[in-house]
Amino acid sequence: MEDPIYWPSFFFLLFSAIACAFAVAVVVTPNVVRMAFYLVLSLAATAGLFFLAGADFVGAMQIMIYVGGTLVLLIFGVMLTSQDRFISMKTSNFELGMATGVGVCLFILLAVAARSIPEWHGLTAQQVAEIPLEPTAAPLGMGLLGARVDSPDRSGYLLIFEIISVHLLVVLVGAAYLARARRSRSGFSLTSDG
Amino acid sequence: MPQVIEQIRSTATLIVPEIVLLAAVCALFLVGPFLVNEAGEAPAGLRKRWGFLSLFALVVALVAWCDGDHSLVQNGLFRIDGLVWYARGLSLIAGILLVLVLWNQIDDVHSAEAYACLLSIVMGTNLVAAANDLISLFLALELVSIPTYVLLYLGKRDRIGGEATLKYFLLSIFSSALVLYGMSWLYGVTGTTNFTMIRDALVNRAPHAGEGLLEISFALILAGLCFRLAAVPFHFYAPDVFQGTTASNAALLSLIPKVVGFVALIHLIPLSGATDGWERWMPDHESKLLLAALAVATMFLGNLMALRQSHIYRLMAYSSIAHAGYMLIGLVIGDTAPVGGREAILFYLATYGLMTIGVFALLSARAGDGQPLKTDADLRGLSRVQPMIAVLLAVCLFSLTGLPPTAGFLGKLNLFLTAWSDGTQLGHVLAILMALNAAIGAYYYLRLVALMFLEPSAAEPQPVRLAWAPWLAGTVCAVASIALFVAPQWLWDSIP
Repeated sequence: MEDPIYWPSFFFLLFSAIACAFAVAVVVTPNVVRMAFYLVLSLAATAGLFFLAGADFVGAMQIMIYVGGTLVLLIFGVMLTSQDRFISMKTSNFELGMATGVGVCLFILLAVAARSIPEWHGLTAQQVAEIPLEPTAAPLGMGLLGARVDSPDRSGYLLIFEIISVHLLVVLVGAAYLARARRSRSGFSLTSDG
Repeated sequence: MPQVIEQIRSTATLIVPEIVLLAAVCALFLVGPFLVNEAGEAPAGLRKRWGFLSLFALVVALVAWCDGDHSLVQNGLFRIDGLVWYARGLSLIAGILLVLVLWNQIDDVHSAEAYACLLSIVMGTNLVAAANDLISLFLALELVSIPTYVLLYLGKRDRIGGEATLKYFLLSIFSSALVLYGMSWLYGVTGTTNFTMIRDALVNRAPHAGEGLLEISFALILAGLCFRLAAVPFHFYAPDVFQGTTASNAALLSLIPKVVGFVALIHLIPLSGATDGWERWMPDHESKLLLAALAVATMFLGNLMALRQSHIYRLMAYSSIAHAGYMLIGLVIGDTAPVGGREAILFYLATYGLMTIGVFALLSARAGDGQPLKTDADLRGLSRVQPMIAVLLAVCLFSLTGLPPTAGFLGKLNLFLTAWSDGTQLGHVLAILMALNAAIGAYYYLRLVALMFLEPSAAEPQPVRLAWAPWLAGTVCAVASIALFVAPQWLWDSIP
């Protein structure tokens, strides 16, 4: 028999409501630690949306990298470094008004533009059920190793993968210098007076 | 699987100069730390050894570039054509000049990392030109910006330098996010990241389908790239960053992000006018108006603000904003006019690189005695203390003004002719406004020349030992500026 509730829509609405509500909360709250926590919830809900869309790999990465890695680091960073005067950030009413105005305008623009694509709405439950569910992790991994499963005549992303590794090398060197600055012998006046 | 390996091999042969640079970058990063001891001391003269290694890598890359095939080769991720060939030559030669300017601007301890960052920036610039995919384009753009943050920090580690680095870092990240967001909308409309396939998707779509999304994605990408060009209203960082950093970093920031930004826009602009713009390389009507507004605002703000500056680096920052405005005119016109806008931009980039690197090289050439030239007062009466530097600096400033007999004159003339020969009202207005701005610009460049030659010197003339590397770079730039005026055909012919 027909299920009275169409569950994909239910979960979509649930996850998107959580993501949007906590995204707004990030902007509204003046406390940095709470901001970071709300961001965790918002990003976790976004991961749920990725799972719903059938992008299991991206969803898992969203949880592992953003929720699990970056944000835990961010919360620790905020808790360890912030002094009282930085914990709470006050924005003036003018700034809040400006940001709201720009944000609302941009949102309306994007929403109207996205609605203008006919293929992006109007799928029935029947049509959705017919879309084959494909694994995403294995093709992605093969693609990064140089083989494209979907179109074998095109080369994969091995060189891209290598370029990213150069990025990480540069980032690590830069981070090491920035973190070492306090002990530097050559003197670093940004921290020497702090 | 053998087929896959063959594909990787064929892709790798397309980017041989970059692979040479990559090898040097790895060597510098990996060996560099072992030559600095626990206490943070390095053997004296280490920076010279790393400098020679970087020069060697760049020369090898140049040889690979000369030997390389410059016919059209296309692959999923990279596409080699005349534009890539030209941009590669430009960035490798600029890289050699920048290594020379960096010579005495970095201490021994940080030299390995600084040169490695410089080489990876050059590599990123080449890859931006070669990119044929949104993913490779974005990664190449980041390969330019991330090492720039490190280089800015390594160059000057005091309070002002730290502030300049942080300002650049935060705004640059913001601009990268804008570009990425714009790219994701473009992917959303077309369903692919490959430029060739994006073009096919846009040409074959239903009329006006996804028009709104395309416009949004174009606006976002343009906004993000305008940060690199330092175009108004994304110019705020430039004066503070230039003032707070060293001569070599300022020279780098005035040229390389512009090369990167314009080459990326040359790739992406045709996407804005997808159906009819692709063949003739021109933006569609709305993008034209947007670019024209950006160009006019950028020219005027850059030139008018430069009038008020007494710190030379700050003045050069506003001047670099103004020059971005001139070059944006070339984008507005596109390739419809008899003198193509794209050719005019590429020519101007080369001449602008010579002048701006030349100015910063000469300003820092005297830095050997710890007294870099930074303000108006330092330039006063320079012709009596350092006649050669004053003459060469004057040549570079004439070139920036756009006076004959320098290459800067030809660069401006090309852009002017491009705009005028377009035949539209917009083209005529832009050409007139550009001439007006060149006149405003002449005031503050020539004021510096007058300061050097007409004012009496504040200090007693005393012999100063010149640093040979920046001195060499400055001389090459000034001489090449004049040589290109005499024989511009050589450069013009190499433009695709």
